Amino acid sequence: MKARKLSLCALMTALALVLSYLESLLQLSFLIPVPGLKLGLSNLVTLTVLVLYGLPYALPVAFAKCFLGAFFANGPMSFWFSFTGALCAIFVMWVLLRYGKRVVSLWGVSMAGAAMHNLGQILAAAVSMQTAAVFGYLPVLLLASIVTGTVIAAAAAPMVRALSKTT
Amino acid sequence: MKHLRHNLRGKAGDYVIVAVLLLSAGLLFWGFAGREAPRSVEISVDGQEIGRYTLPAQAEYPLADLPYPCTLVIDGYAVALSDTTCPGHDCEHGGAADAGGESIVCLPNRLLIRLTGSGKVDTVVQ
Repeated sequence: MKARKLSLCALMTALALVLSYLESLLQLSFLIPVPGLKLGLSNLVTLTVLVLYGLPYALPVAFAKCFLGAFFANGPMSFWFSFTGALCAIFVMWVLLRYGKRVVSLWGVSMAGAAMHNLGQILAAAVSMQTAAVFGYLPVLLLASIVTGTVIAAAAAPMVRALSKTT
Repeated sequence: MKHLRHNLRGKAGDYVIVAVLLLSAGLLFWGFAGREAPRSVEISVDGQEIGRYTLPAQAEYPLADLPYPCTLVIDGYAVALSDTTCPGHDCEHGGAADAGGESIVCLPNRLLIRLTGSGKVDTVVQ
Protein backbone atom coordinates (compact mmCIF):
# COMPACT_ATOMS: atom_id res chain seq x y z
CA MET A 1 0.00 0.00 0.00
CA LYS A 2 2.83 2.34 0.92
CA ALA A 3 4.65 1.60 -2.35
CA ARG A 4 1.47 2.43 -4.23
CA LYS A 5 1.18 5.77 -2.44
CA LEU A 6 4.85 6.56 -3.03
CA SER A 7 4.68 5.80 -6.73
CA LEU A 8 1.53 7.88 -7.08
CA CYS A 9 3.27 10.78 -5.28
CA ALA A 10 6.20 10.47 -7.72
CA LEU A 11 3.76 10.58 -10.62
CA MET A 12 2.07 13.60 -9.05
CA THR A 13 5.41 15.40 -8.69
CA ALA A 14 6.11 14.79 -12.36
CA LEU A 15 2.63 16.10 -13.21
CA ALA A 16 3.28 19.23 -11.11
CA LEU A 17 6.52 19.89 -13.02
CA VAL A 18 4.76 19.51 -16.37
CA LEU A 19 1.96 21.82 -15.22
CA SER A 20 4.37 24.51 -14.05
CA TYR A 21 6.22 24.26 -17.37
CA LEU A 22 2.94 24.64 -19.29
CA GLU A 23 2.10 27.57 -17.05
CA SER A 24 5.37 29.31 -17.89
CA LEU A 25 4.34 29.18 -21.57
CA LEU A 26 1.08 31.00 -20.83
CA GLN A 27 2.73 34.36 -20.03
CA LEU A 28 -0.16 35.57 -17.92
CA SER A 29 1.63 38.86 -17.32
CA PHE A 30 0.26 40.12 -20.65
CA LEU A 31 -3.24 39.86 -19.23
CA ILE A 32 -2.54 40.80 -15.63
CA PRO A 33 0.75 42.66 -15.31
CA VAL A 34 1.78 41.49 -11.87
CA PRO A 35 5.23 39.99 -11.34
CA GLY A 36 5.01 36.41 -10.16
CA LEU A 37 1.35 35.95 -10.94
CA LYS A 38 0.82 32.39 -12.07
CA LEU A 39 -2.28 30.28 -12.28
CA GLY A 40 -0.61 28.00 -9.76
CA LEU A 41 -1.73 24.92 -11.69
CA SER A 42 0.73 22.76 -9.80
CA ASN A 43 -1.31 23.51 -6.65
CA LEU A 44 -3.72 21.03 -8.17
CA VAL A 45 -1.24 18.30 -7.34
CA THR A 46 -0.62 19.54 -3.78
CA LEU A 47 -4.36 19.76 -3.09
CA THR A 48 -5.06 16.31 -4.54
CA VAL A 49 -2.27 14.62 -2.56
CA LEU A 50 -3.33 16.47 0.61
CA VAL A 51 -6.94 15.31 0.28
CA LEU A 52 -5.99 11.71 -0.59
CA TYR A 53 -2.98 11.00 1.64
CA GLY A 54 -2.66 13.90 4.10
CA LEU A 55 0.15 16.13 5.25
CA PRO A 56 3.00 13.55 5.46
CA TYR A 57 2.77 13.00 1.71
CA ALA A 58 1.75 16.50 0.56
CA LEU A 59 4.78 18.22 2.15
CA PRO A 60 7.48 16.11 0.41
CA VAL A 61 5.61 16.38 -2.92
CA ALA A 62 5.49 20.19 -2.57
CA PHE A 63 9.19 20.29 -1.63
CA ALA A 64 10.17 18.08 -4.59
CA LYS A 65 8.01 20.16 -6.94
CA CYS A 66 9.61 23.46 -5.84
CA PHE A 67 13.15 22.07 -5.69
CA LEU A 68 13.04 20.35 -9.10
CA GLY A 69 11.24 23.34 -10.65
CA ALA A 70 13.99 25.66 -9.40
CA PHE A 71 16.74 23.21 -10.41
CA PHE A 72 15.52 22.62 -13.97
CA ALA A 73 13.94 25.91 -14.96
CA ASN A 74 13.46 28.84 -12.63
CA GLY A 75 16.72 29.27 -10.68
CA PRO A 76 17.52 29.13 -6.93
CA MET A 77 15.70 32.35 -5.99
CA SER A 78 12.41 30.93 -7.21
CA PHE A 79 12.75 28.00 -4.77
CA TRP A 80 12.31 30.25 -1.74
CA PHE A 81 9.37 32.11 -3.26
CA SER A 82 7.55 29.00 -4.40
CA PHE A 83 8.34 26.90 -1.30
CA THR A 84 7.24 29.64 1.12
CA GLY A 85 4.04 29.97 -0.94
CA ALA A 86 3.52 26.21 -1.01
CA LEU A 87 4.07 25.87 2.77
CA CYS A 88 1.52 28.61 3.54
CA ALA A 89 -0.98 27.08 1.10
CA ILE A 90 -0.56 23.54 2.46
CA PHE A 91 -0.90 24.67 6.07
CA VAL A 92 -4.15 26.57 5.47
CA MET A 93 -5.61 23.84 3.22
CA TRP A 94 -4.73 21.20 5.83
CA VAL A 95 -6.40 23.19 8.64
CA LEU A 96 -9.55 23.70 6.52
CA LEU A 97 -9.69 20.03 5.46
CA ARG A 98 -9.15 18.80 9.02
CA TYR A 99 -11.33 21.18 11.00
CA GLY A 100 -13.64 22.87 8.49
CA LYS A 101 -14.99 20.03 6.38
CA ARG A 102 -18.56 20.64 7.51
CA VAL A 103 -18.64 24.27 6.37
CA VAL A 104 -16.03 24.44 3.59
CA SER A 105 -15.97 22.40 0.36
CA LEU A 106 -13.01 21.61 -1.88
CA TRP A 107 -13.76 24.89 -3.69
CA GLY A 108 -13.20 26.99 -0.56
CA VAL A 109 -10.12 24.97 0.41
CA SER A 110 -8.67 25.55 -3.06
CA MET A 111 -9.36 29.31 -3.04
CA ALA A 112 -7.88 29.71 0.44
CA GLY A 113 -4.84 27.69 -0.70
CA ALA A 114 -4.35 29.84 -3.80
CA ALA A 115 -4.64 33.04 -1.74
CA MET A 116 -2.16 31.80 0.87
CA HIS A 117 0.21 30.66 -1.87
CA ASN A 118 0.25 34.22 -3.23
CA LEU A 119 0.57 35.72 0.25
CA GLY A 120 3.52 33.43 1.01
CA GLN A 121 5.28 34.39 -2.22
CA ILE A 122 4.77 38.09 -1.49
CA LEU A 123 6.08 37.61 2.08
CA ALA A 124 9.19 35.88 0.72
CA ALA A 125 9.65 38.69 -1.83
CA ALA A 126 9.20 41.34 0.91
CA VAL A 127 11.88 39.68 3.08
CA SER A 128 14.21 39.16 0.11
CA MET A 129 13.83 42.72 -1.23
CA GLN A 130 13.60 44.26 2.28
CA THR A 131 10.57 46.32 1.37
CA ALA A 132 6.84 46.31 2.04
CA ALA A 133 6.22 47.84 -1.41
CA VAL A 134 5.67 44.38 -2.91
CA PHE A 135 2.44 44.10 -0.86
CA GLY A 136 1.01 46.59 -3.38
CA TYR A 137 0.58 43.60 -5.72
CA LEU A 138 -1.44 41.66 -3.18
CA PRO A 139 -4.94 43.03 -4.02
CA VAL A 140 -4.74 41.80 -7.64
CA LEU A 141 -3.21 38.50 -6.51
CA LEU A 142 -5.98 37.95 -3.93
CA LEU A 143 -8.66 38.61 -6.56
CA ALA A 144 -6.86 36.29 -8.98
CA SER A 145 -6.79 33.55 -6.35
CA ILE A 146 -10.62 33.38 -6.44
CA VAL A 147 -10.35 32.49 -10.15
CA THR A 148 -7.34 30.17 -9.88
CA GLY A 149 -8.79 28.47 -6.78
CA THR A 150 -12.01 27.81 -8.69
CA VAL A 151 -10.20 26.39 -11.74
CA ILE A 152 -8.02 24.15 -9.54
CA ALA A 153 -10.97 22.90 -7.49
CA ALA A 154 -12.91 22.07 -10.67
CA ALA A 155 -9.94 19.99 -11.86
CA ALA A 156 -9.08 18.46 -8.47
CA ALA A 157 -12.59 17.20 -7.62
CA PRO A 158 -12.82 14.57 -10.41
CA MET A 159 -9.15 13.63 -9.85
CA VAL A 160 -9.75 13.00 -6.14
CA ARG A 161 -12.90 11.00 -6.91
CA ALA A 162 -11.15 8.82 -9.49
CA LEU A 163 -7.99 8.24 -7.46
CA SER A 164 -9.79 7.51 -4.18
CA LYS A 165 -11.48 4.56 -5.92
CA THR A 166 -8.16 3.04 -6.95
CA THR A 167 -6.22 3.51 -3.70
CA MET B 1 -21.17 24.33 -16.78
CA LYS B 2 -22.94 21.22 -15.52
CA HIS B 3 -19.57 19.65 -14.77
CA LEU B 4 -18.48 22.79 -12.94
CA ARG B 5 -21.67 22.96 -10.86
CA HIS B 6 -21.37 19.28 -10.00
CA ASN B 7 -17.82 19.70 -8.73
CA LEU B 8 -18.23 23.06 -7.05
CA ARG B 9 -21.30 22.84 -4.87
CA GLY B 10 -20.45 25.60 -2.46
CA LYS B 11 -20.97 25.45 1.29
CA ALA B 12 -21.47 28.50 3.51
CA GLY B 13 -17.77 28.67 4.39
CA ASP B 14 -16.79 28.91 0.71
CA TYR B 15 -18.77 32.12 0.31
CA VAL B 16 -17.21 33.47 3.52
CA ILE B 17 -13.77 32.82 1.98
CA VAL B 18 -14.78 34.64 -1.23
CA ALA B 19 -16.06 37.57 0.86
CA VAL B 20 -12.87 37.70 2.96
CA LEU B 21 -10.71 37.67 -0.18
CA LEU B 22 -12.76 40.43 -1.86
CA LEU B 23 -12.77 42.54 1.30
CA SER B 24 -9.04 42.22 1.98
CA ALA B 25 -8.23 42.93 -1.69
CA GLY B 26 -10.41 46.05 -1.52
CA LEU B 27 -8.90 47.28 1.75
CA LEU B 28 -5.32 46.66 0.57
CA PHE B 29 -6.05 48.37 -2.75
CA TRP B 30 -7.43 51.36 -0.86
CA GLY B 31 -4.31 51.40 1.33
CA PHE B 32 -1.78 51.16 -1.48
CA ALA B 33 -3.47 53.18 -4.23
CA GLY B 34 -1.74 56.49 -4.75
CA ARG B 35 -3.98 59.34 -5.71
CA GLU B 36 -1.40 62.12 -5.85
CA ALA B 37 1.38 62.88 -8.29
CA PRO B 38 4.82 61.82 -7.03
CA ARG B 39 7.64 64.17 -6.04
CA SER B 40 10.58 61.90 -6.76
CA VAL B 41 11.58 58.44 -7.95
CA GLU B 42 13.86 56.32 -5.79
CA ILE B 43 15.84 53.42 -7.24
CA SER B 44 17.21 50.73 -4.96
CA VAL B 45 18.89 47.37 -5.43
CA ASP B 46 19.04 44.84 -2.58
CA GLY B 47 17.59 47.48 -0.27
CA GLN B 48 20.43 49.94 -1.05
CA GLU B 49 19.44 53.21 -2.73
CA ILE B 50 21.42 53.71 -5.96
CA GLY B 51 19.69 56.80 -7.31
CA ARG B 52 16.92 59.34 -6.84
CA TYR B 53 15.49 61.77 -9.39
CA THR B 54 13.09 64.67 -8.97
CA LEU B 55 9.82 64.60 -10.90
CA PRO B 56 8.47 65.70 -13.31
CA ALA B 57 11.29 64.97 -15.77
CA GLN B 58 11.97 63.68 -19.26
CA ALA B 59 14.87 61.22 -19.19
CA GLU B 60 16.13 57.70 -19.83
CA TYR B 61 18.61 56.10 -17.44
CA PRO B 62 20.29 52.81 -18.44
CA LEU B 63 20.64 50.43 -15.46
CA ALA B 64 23.53 48.49 -16.97
CA ASP B 65 25.15 47.05 -13.82
CA LEU B 66 22.23 44.80 -12.93
CA PRO B 67 22.21 41.02 -13.57
CA TYR B 68 19.54 41.72 -16.23
CA PRO B 69 20.24 45.24 -17.59
CA CYS B 70 17.26 47.47 -18.39
CA THR B 71 16.39 51.12 -18.87
CA LEU B 72 14.44 53.43 -16.58
CA VAL B 73 12.22 55.74 -18.61
CA ILE B 74 10.83 58.89 -16.97
CA ASP B 75 8.09 60.71 -18.86
CA GLY B 76 6.71 63.58 -16.78
CA TYR B 77 5.32 61.98 -13.61
CA ALA B 78 5.21 58.50 -15.19
CA VAL B 79 8.06 56.05 -14.62
CA ALA B 80 8.52 52.72 -16.41
CA LEU B 81 11.15 50.09 -17.16
CA SER B 82 11.97 49.20 -20.76
CA ASP B 83 14.49 47.13 -22.75
CA THR B 84 14.40 44.49 -19.99
CA THR B 85 16.65 41.49 -20.58
CA CYS B 86 15.22 39.11 -17.97
CA PRO B 87 13.23 36.04 -19.08
CA GLY B 88 9.84 37.17 -17.71
CA HIS B 89 9.61 40.89 -18.66
CA ASP B 90 6.94 41.21 -15.94
CA CYS B 91 7.95 44.71 -14.87
CA GLU B 92 7.89 45.92 -18.49
CA HIS B 93 4.42 44.45 -19.07
CA GLY B 94 3.30 46.13 -15.86
CA GLY B 95 3.47 49.52 -17.58
CA ALA B 96 4.18 52.86 -15.97
CA ALA B 97 3.75 53.92 -12.35
CA ASP B 98 2.59 57.50 -11.95
CA ALA B 99 1.24 58.02 -8.43
CA GLY B 100 2.94 58.65 -5.08
CA GLY B 101 3.46 55.38 -3.18
CA GLU B 102 3.31 53.24 -6.34
CA SER B 103 6.28 51.03 -7.17
CA ILE B 104 7.70 48.75 -9.83
CA VAL B 105 9.36 45.61 -8.55
CA CYS B 106 11.84 43.51 -10.53
CA LEU B 107 12.51 40.31 -8.60
CA PRO B 108 15.27 38.87 -10.85
CA ASN B 109 17.29 42.08 -10.39
CA ARG B 110 16.11 42.64 -6.79
CA LEU B 111 15.34 46.12 -8.08
CA LEU B 112 12.75 48.44 -6.57
CA ILE B 113 11.58 51.64 -8.27
CA ARG B 114 9.47 53.60 -5.81
CA LEU B 115 7.59 56.85 -6.38
CA THR B 116 7.79 58.87 -3.21
CA GLY B 117 5.95 61.82 -1.74
CA SER B 118 3.30 63.89 -3.41
CA GLY B 119 4.16 66.96 -5.40
CA LYS B 120 0.72 68.12 -6.38
CA VAL B 121 -2.77 66.73 -6.38
CA ASP B 122 -3.39 64.88 -9.62
CA THR B 123 -6.50 65.42 -11.70
CA VAL B 124 -9.58 64.62 -9.66
CA VAL B 125 -12.15 62.75 -11.70
CA GLN B 126 -15.73 62.82 -10.39
